[in-house]
Amino acid sequence: MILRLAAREIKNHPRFSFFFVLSVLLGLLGLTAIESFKGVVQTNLQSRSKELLGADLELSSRFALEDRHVKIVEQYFEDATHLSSLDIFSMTSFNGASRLIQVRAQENGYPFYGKLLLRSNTQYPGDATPLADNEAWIYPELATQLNIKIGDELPIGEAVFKVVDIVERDIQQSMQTGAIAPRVYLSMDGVKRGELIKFGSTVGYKVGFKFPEGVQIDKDKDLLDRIKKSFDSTVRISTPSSEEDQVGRTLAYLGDFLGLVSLVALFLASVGILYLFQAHLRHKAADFATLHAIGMERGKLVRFMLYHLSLLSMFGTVSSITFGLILMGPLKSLAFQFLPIEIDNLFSFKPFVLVLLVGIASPLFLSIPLILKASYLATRKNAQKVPVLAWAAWPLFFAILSFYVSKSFLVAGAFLGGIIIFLLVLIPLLRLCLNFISKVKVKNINLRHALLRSSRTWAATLSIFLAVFYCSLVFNLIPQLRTNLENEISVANPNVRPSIFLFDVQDDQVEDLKVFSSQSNLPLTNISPMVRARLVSINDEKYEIDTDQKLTREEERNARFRNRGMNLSYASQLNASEKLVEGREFSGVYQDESMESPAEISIEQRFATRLGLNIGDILEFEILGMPIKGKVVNFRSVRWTTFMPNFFIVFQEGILNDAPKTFLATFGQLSSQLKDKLQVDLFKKFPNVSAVDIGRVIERIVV
Amino acid sequence: MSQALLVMALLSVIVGLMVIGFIINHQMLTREKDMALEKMLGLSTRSMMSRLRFEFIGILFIASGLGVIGSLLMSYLLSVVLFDGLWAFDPILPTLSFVMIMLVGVSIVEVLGRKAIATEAAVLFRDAD
Amino acid sequence: MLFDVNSIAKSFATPKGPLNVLKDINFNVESGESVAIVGRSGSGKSTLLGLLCGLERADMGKMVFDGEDYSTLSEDALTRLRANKIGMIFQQFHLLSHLKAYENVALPLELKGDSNAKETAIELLGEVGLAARIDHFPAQLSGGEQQRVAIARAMAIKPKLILADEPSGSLDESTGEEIMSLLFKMVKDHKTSLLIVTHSQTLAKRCDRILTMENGVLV
Repeated sequence: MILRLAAREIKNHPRFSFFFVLSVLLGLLGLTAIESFKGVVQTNLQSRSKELLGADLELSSRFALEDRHVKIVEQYFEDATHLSSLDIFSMTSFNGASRLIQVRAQENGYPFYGKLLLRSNTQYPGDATPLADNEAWIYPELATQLNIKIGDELPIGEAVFKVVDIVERDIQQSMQTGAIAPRVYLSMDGVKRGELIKFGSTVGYKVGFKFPEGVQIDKDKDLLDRIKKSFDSTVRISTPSSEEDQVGRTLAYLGDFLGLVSLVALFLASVGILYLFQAHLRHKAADFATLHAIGMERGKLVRFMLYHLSLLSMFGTVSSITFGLILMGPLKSLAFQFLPIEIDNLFSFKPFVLVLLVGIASPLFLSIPLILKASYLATRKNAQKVPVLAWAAWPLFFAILSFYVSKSFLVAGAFLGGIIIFLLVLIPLLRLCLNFISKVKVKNINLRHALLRSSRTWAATLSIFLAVFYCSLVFNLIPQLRTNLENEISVANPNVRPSIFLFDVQDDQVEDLKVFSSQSNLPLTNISPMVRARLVSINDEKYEIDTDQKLTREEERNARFRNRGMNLSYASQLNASEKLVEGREFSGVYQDESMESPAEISIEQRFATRLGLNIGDILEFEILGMPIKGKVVNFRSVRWTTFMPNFFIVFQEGILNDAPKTFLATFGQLSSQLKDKLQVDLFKKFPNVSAVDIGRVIERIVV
Repeated sequence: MSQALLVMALLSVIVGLMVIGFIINHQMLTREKDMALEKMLGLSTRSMMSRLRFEFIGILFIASGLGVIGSLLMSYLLSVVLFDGLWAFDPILPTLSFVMIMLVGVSIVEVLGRKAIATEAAVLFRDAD
Repeated sequence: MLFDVNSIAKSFATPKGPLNVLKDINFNVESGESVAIVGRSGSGKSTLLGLLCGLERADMGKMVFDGEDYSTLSEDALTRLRANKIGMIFQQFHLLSHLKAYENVALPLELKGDSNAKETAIELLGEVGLAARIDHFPAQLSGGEQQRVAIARAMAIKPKLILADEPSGSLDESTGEEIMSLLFKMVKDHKTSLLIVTHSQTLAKRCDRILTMENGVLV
């Protein structure tokens, strides 16, 4: 009977019902679209995870993988087969322009899963002829950028390769580097022929394994754990599941941020729902009192109001789910920029459960204190106070939802902090102002009465105020952040931001590069040595951490960050993008010939905070097997967006000068024409040196 | 990527504007009899409209202005404190968002206000029959 | 003669054709006189009140109040007439909920530009026995107290005529008696004419004259 009453209530108050349902619908719309989209992406990635990786298990490293690495895996899987591949950055030039490319070479038959689709309508592995050592397949972007046709010859490294086909679809495409360094496929022999691998080259070595049918490594956590522990931190182990996470990471981050912004809509809608419902309950106060007088107990009265609210919320939620699915279309086209696969409409149940839960629970938690208050009023228990927990229910719910959507304590905390701080400041401030306004003597009678009404109907005034305030905040904040980012990376000072960034400059090429620069009359700046190393310990405590227990985005990032190798540098002083924050400058050149005493090192301040470093801490590094110790003497701030060579850890001069190293450098402020000419000339003279056009990178970031 | 964020932000703004519309609409409905009474007592429709403008547009102006200031403050904190970057003040953006919200808000007030003021004062008598 | 009403008729359009609410209304009110119009629900009393205070226009007939013919007056002129010469009291009191008692009473005076509106309002509230409640909001007052405020508001402009629409209709019998006694006393003290629309024969009998409305005509 109560449910029937509640249903009739909806019919009897069509206007209120309509506005309530509309508020729920719009408040949930963004969340529905984002969560459904995330669910569909996840399902798609899951279903194609083996193809994304190309194997059942993959070892990858910046150092060459050896037979002993392969044997470690084979001891667990006797019938496994394995094949190798590698990735390396290089340069190519054609038609008077040169470009940075990512060369991929793989043994014939690799990848085990997933195929390359070529323009000739053949597939690899499959009916496509494997590459000879003088042949290449290129990505369509490179063909467009340099106007290359099939049959043209491309110089790469020390050799020339004939373009025999163009890759139309590559499921193992790297979306992050794709636009900056399009991929070129060579054979393993081709890489040797081109002499692409030199000392200091940034090579990604991979060995992929195929296991017998039925073996699913992702399901056996213990075995996977044992395999991982058999390798040191220079070797990364990837499975289809981890590859799926890796590929979807950028889109997942985007989804999390979009989810948070959608929660702003939910918050604003909740302001509206709260106002509407409290006005409705006030309007119905006499009816509730009458119902109680004729025999409806307080409990039934509360249930009646709850059922009414729940029915309305359900209508709104179901409508939101329907309309939210319509927004999926534009989101799918967005996904295409970040994923190498097309998104099929694979149904995922989880998002709908979430949206249904939020759609019904949010208005309920919001309205519980109002319902309780109305029931006390109806039963003449005016003195009874609504429990504090009832008021705290919705804020708690919203906080948990924010964390779930963003998957980050930091981000959810900042988001909630922003909302709460403004509320805590605005509400009392507004009440004070309204009190003040009500006492102000104003001559204009219309203004006076307007002020009187605003100040004395403060619930309505506050609701409108908050809605407008948060609307205005959101409307301006995101474009403002975007402008900040654009300005930050564009950098106003033209004398600081370089046009071309060079890496893989060999030690013996530096002087020639300087000569080249002065002959071309182009400014070569920021020549910085880079030494590859591993951080082994801090104050004699092991540095690397176990990556299995990740929960939040921060923990994931931290683990990846720690377990990578490091690039060290050395210098006598800070560069233009650095500023001393704590400690002292280097005392000069390292003098200890025995190399027993630790050298002085400078640490970037955020890196230092992440690692919990203090001035005076001792860090031990391993450089090609040799231990080197450094003592922290200062922290510095670095403006990474200057695109100058910068390092987390910089040694004083004198200790790493003889270590095997490559160099980074920049060419400053060049016009577009000069830039293109420089890249071509550089490529002719130094074919192994990779050059990144900073302008292109900025374009990519800003989009 | 930032386009997607902008679209989602726009959705939030649309929701906010709708909520503002609901609340103002509800306020006008609840003031029906008050407006009829004021007409009865001799208040002109011009004065009634003036009062509505003072009240709602005043709230819109102050709230919108504070919202813009709040967003500048937040973007400053995020850029400088969290991301160690420079803060760039662009006067066009805040002005544009302030003007847009005011325009929409003022339109809502004008339309709903005129509708509410057109209420017949004779509703005051209808309780008797 | 203060108010002369001649052959007033009013009809409203309905989907089933015009509804003739008032057919042929004729009456007058002298200065200082109290007149009661009684009739059943649906007899057209509300419509008549709306015409008498100038909120609606009659389809036919003539109304002259204090020498001014309604048919010659514009909307603004009718508004000014109402603001200056006619006080209204309603069954549901119709006080502005966000204004205090004295602010409600002062409102019509402020609309006239009276700089002593507050003082006059407080004085009037004293007259109706609410000197101690001037700062209270309507929600803090009982029904009887709210009607007293409404009476004070109606008297504030020193009207020539008070139009009262079932003034005791929302009050219990003894409170209603008390309020009506107050009303009659005030109109007598201020020499104001009074036109009451009511169901109650008891109340009607307190007036100088009783007119009965039946089917859109006064009998």
